[in-house]
Amino acid sequence: MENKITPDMLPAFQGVIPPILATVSLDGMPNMTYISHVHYIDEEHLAISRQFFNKTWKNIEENPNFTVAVTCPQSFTLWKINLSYQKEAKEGELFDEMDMIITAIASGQSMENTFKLQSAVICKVESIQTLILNGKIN
Amino acid sequence: MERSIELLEKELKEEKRKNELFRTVSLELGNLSSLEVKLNNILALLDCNFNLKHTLLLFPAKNNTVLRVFASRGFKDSGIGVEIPFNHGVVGVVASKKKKLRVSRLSQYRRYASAFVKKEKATVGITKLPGLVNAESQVALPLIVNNELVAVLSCESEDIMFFHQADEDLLMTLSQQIALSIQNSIVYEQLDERVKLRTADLENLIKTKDKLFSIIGHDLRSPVTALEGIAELFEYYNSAGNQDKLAGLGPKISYAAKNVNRLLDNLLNWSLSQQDGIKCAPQKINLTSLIEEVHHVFKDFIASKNIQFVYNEEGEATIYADYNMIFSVLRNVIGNSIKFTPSSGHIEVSTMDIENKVQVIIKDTGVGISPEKIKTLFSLQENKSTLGTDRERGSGLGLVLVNEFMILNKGSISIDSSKEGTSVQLLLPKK
Repeated sequence: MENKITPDMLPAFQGVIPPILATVSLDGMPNMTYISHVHYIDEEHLAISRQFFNKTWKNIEENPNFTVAVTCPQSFTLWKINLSYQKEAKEGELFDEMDMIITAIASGQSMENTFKLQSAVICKVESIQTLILNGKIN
Repeated sequence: MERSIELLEKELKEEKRKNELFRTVSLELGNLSSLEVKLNNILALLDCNFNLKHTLLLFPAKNNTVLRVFASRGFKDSGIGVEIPFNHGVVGVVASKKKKLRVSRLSQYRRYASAFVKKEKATVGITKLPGLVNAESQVALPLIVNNELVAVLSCESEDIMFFHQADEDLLMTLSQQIALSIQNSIVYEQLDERVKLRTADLENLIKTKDKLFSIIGHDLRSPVTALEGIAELFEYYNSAGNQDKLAGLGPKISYAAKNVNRLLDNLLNWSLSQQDGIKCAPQKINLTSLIEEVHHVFKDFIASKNIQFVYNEEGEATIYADYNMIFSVLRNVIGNSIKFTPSSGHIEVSTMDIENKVQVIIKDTGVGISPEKIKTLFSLQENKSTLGTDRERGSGLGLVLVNEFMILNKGSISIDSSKEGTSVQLLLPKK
């Protein structure tokens, strides 16, 4: 099992196909949600934007290990990436970059007051598993 | 091994394509052309080389608070001139952050937003930029030179996967060149505009100079020719020993010389005022003594035409103006009155306080000026001068100068005239 993001995975972080984020509470209750996109930081780190997901955030606080499933929009390869929560960034270059896209979409739809980035949730890539490759389950 | 070679070949082919693209784009962008042509060429280039069919070029305006569409391609409505605030929408955010942005799944966001808007009864009041109804993806790039935003390039597509990272990177590399090219065209256009303005200024100057020469040619020649004639007569009478005739030439020489002197004076003053050479130095002036001085200058002239000259003073008659200029104004206006008033006529000069100004009225029983002629009095035109009642010559410059001097002294001049005579009103500041 890999634990580094490879160049062929990069299109999966362009936000074309919404990734699925799965967390588990301390008492073992799973929660799954679609998110707009996963932000690529480097081959060992990813970030997700924290806007609402109250339940997800509660779960991450209780259990810092969670999973995200991303799909390459060109090859439709599906990867399951196991992540561990590292820290939350409420300012800085990464936060600004992630905030930019949310502001652009929200202001374009007159929803600047509804959609606001609260923080960039920085995670470490623990392991990567290819679930679907060349249209076949791996 | 075979796979590696295949990959390398593919990479090499891609690099070749990029190089060729850079070469073509560089050549086109290097062309010096007007801004409008340049912008349309850029969008055409992007269409041909990147298959970007729906593009916009927006410039920052209003002190970098809005973006304005300057060129568009592929949209139903060109939207030229449409404005969008900074930090609003994809292009607005790109402009304020000066960073590229790519957004996909636009239809999903629209649907999501419309659901929210209905739910929250939000209002949508921002002007819409030209755009595709079914746009799925959008890329906006800031075009920057020396950390200054020159423009924003926005590209849209109905294809959700239209924009690839590689294309985006290539566009970003080209964006610097595009920005420089746009900036060069802006500078070129500004320079062109400056050259046009400067050319217009120079043309006006040449016109003025031509008129000046024309006036000099027309008006200076006559008194000089007259002087020459008198000099020839002087020589003739002298050789003939005709002392009586010789003595009679004295006043004629004096009059002709004064005429030339006055004309030269006016020409010099006027040409200096045209070159900002005359500086207005205002001071307190007693108008009564100034009018008396002018009267003294024309004493012989007034007497020769048997004109009755009256001066009525009301109020203080103290003004705040440049002494030499107002002296020249009064000399010209009163001189004109004398010139156009027939023998045994009447000239009345009166001064009156009107709030913070002093009004000087010079009223004569002269031949009057036609309304058409009044319109031309303050402008420099060829052969404008009219002969006086005793065929006195002028230059047509006098009232042009008067008007310039009155403006410089924050005063004004107006003329009323009929067949019964002319009234010139001068309004001068008290302080």
